[in-house]
Amino acid sequence: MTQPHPGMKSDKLKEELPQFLQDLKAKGDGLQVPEGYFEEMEDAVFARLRASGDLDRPKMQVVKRPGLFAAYIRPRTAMALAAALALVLAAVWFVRQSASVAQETPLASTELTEEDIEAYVLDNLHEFDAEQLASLTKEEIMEPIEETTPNPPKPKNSNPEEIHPDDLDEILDEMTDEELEQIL
Amino acid sequence: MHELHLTAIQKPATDEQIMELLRSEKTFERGFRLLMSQYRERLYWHIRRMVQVHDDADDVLQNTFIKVYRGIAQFEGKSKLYTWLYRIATNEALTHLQSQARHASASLDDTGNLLSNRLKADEWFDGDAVQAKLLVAIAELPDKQKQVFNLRYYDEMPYEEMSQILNTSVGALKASFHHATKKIEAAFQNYEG
Repeated sequence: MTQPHPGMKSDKLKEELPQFLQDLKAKGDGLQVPEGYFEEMEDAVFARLRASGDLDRPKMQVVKRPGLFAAYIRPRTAMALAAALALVLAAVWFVRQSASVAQETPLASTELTEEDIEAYVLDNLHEFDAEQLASLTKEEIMEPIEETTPNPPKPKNSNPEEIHPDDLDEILDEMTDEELEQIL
Repeated sequence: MHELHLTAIQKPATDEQIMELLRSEKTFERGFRLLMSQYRERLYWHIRRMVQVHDDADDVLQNTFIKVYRGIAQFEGKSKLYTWLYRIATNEALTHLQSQARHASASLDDTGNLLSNRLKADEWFDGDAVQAKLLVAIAELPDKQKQVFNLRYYDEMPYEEMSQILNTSVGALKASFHHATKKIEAAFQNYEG
């Protein structure tokens, strides 16, 4: 069986070819194919597919191509890497959070009520710088207290720089949040 | 999904009809046989003109269909089915020719002589010396020029259609065909066969 030779259909092609190629085209190329080859070829293809087990596999299952990352990294490795990355991010977040809390306490204290602050200061009085509290008392707080209090109480301690806890309540009551933040 | 009637199958099937059969496990084999019967001859002659010898063309064609069978799920329908099949067949044929060229260089024979001898031994070639000379001259063209020459000379494919299949501009295809023709002409220049 020879190949089909439709002859030169296109005039344009004729213009593109030298005469000897036009003649050779009309003559054919001498290539032949065995009779019944194509039908047998189909069966041969199926025999090979059967032998390789391809016929038993699902055919039109949608195959999602893995991305570049997934193509090179196995699932277990990817999970381990993801866990490690999550830990590193958590550690970084924690460290930054601690640093920002230390640096930006004023922001955090905006959620505290005056009562909370007062209770905290009273409970942890020993941690406060007495000198600082005393100076605050003298310069900023004592004066208004003196003005509003006709009979100022006598100092309860021999050391005038020390503040009695009872006085501290009043002082703290009158202190604004901002002032407390500055102290703390 | 509607079943295709026998009468529809006897006519040339459309790509859509073939793909519809291929989408179902039940009709997949029928669809694949339809695909093969639809395109086998066109692909065979494309491959045969690349590799020239029937036994080689048979191997390459079978390999092509096996690759198509395994990869049909990846055909997205963005191009014509034949364009996709043609590219797979071309890759298979080129791989075959490369391995043949390695064999030729290992045996210190040139591609032209090797092919000439194989054509003489091929029982499915009954051409004369001039026809053999033309096949050898085509075989010695660079791969792209060979494809362009075959599509234009044998299939008389319009450049616009060829442009889609080969993904090359029409101007570049015309230039390739012109160069290929000149090389073949040069090969016949001093031929007295």
